[in-house]
Amino acid sequence: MHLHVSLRRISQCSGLDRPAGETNETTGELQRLDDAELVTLTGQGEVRALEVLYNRYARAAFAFAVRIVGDPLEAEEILQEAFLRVWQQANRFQHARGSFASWLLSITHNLAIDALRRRQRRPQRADMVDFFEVLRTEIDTAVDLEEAAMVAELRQQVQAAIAQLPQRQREVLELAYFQGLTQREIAELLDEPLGTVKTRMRLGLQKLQEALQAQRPETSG
Amino acid sequence: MTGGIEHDQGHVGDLIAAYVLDALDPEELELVERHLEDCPQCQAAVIEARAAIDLMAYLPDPQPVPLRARHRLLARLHADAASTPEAAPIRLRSRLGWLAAAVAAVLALAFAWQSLQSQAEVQEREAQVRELEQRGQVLTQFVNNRPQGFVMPIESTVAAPGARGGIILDPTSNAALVMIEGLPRLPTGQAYVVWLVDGDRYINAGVLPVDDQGRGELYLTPQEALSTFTGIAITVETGALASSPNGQPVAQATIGR
Repeated sequence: MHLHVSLRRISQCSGLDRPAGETNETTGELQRLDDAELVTLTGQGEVRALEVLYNRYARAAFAFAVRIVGDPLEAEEILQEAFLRVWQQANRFQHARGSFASWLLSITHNLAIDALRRRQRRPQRADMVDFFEVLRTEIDTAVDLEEAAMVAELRQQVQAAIAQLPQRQREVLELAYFQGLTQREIAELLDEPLGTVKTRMRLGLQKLQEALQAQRPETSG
Repeated sequence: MTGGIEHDQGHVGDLIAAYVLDALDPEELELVERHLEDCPQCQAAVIEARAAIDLMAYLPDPQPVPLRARHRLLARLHADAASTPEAAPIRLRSRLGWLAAAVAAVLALAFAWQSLQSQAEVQEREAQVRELEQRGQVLTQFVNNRPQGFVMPIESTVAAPGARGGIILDPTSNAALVMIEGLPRLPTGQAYVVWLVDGDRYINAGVLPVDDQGRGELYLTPQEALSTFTGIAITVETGALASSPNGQPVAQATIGR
């Protein structure tokens, strides 16, 4: 039995392996819609609308989750869970309160930090990683080709802004944001006085805001 | 700006960074939240601070996303819809889209089976088996909840009462995938054979390989159009190349529409 060959064939026949450029009319129409319109359609049960959103933001969400949990396999689970929640809660999304990307990344952040804390309380069995390694398959090229242009732009701007911060201020911001640590935990980890950590965090945020504003004056506020 | 609202003026400006980063101790958190209830100035500072902190999500460099994640997501979407149809009814535009999701469920399951079969110490991997069984349930649930469509449920006979599964049909390529679990172990010399059925006519579609767990799958690409057949049958045969079924039937499915 040539399982992999047969699976690939049936996958190709179903359109699952369709290259990003070879989309049908329905998908092409959906690709022209903005995020808010796609979220509305997702709330009405349109799977392909969610797939377009996935193509635009899965790469950013996945990289974000990997950064937090450190394990790409666990990050993959978080990515799926985040989009599943988008699917389930699309009707509750309010565009006026923020962008879809912010909403998705906020969901991803919460899930990843929760996973990190769960793991600290209850370490996983190491052999699970080996099992999933076996399952590793090909890369999803659609999320590379169709990623929203604003994602790459924002990535560049934020990386430039954070690079302007003194290393110690950046460190406390990143420990809190990507590791979910409190100021007290950061102080213990770095063996620094709590007051020092508080000051660095406050100044770090202030400088980050200034650096971002300097780069994006037209979008401030 | 956070720097403009000082704590000693009764505001909580010096705690806002830690507040939006969820890095405060419980006592400080309560203090900030109480203050925010009545202070528009600090509320605005929180919104500004959160906007900046949220952008840190874009800091990590891109990572290649496994295609498997998309397949599993699609499978979960349909499993979720099947379990709570009133919460999020699925309205797919085409049968092909629906089929794609079904195949995604099968892919996830089949890849997992394949990996399990490649493991040397199956008995020790209880957690993995549980996951596989959950996926099997997802597929079975999916199939059983949608008898109308291109995934057709396989019905067992009294000879294999625990057998369950489905056949996934892809008319665009005249292909089908048979997946079944719960088949009894056969004595040496016997095999499960899949038949394509057209009235009284039976075409041997091949031997169904079955693992130690009673699970099997067979990919069918018949020379004749699948649409000419009304169903499939699975029987126990002593000869894999039999031209007509002689053994005990264990399962069957209707594939004609």
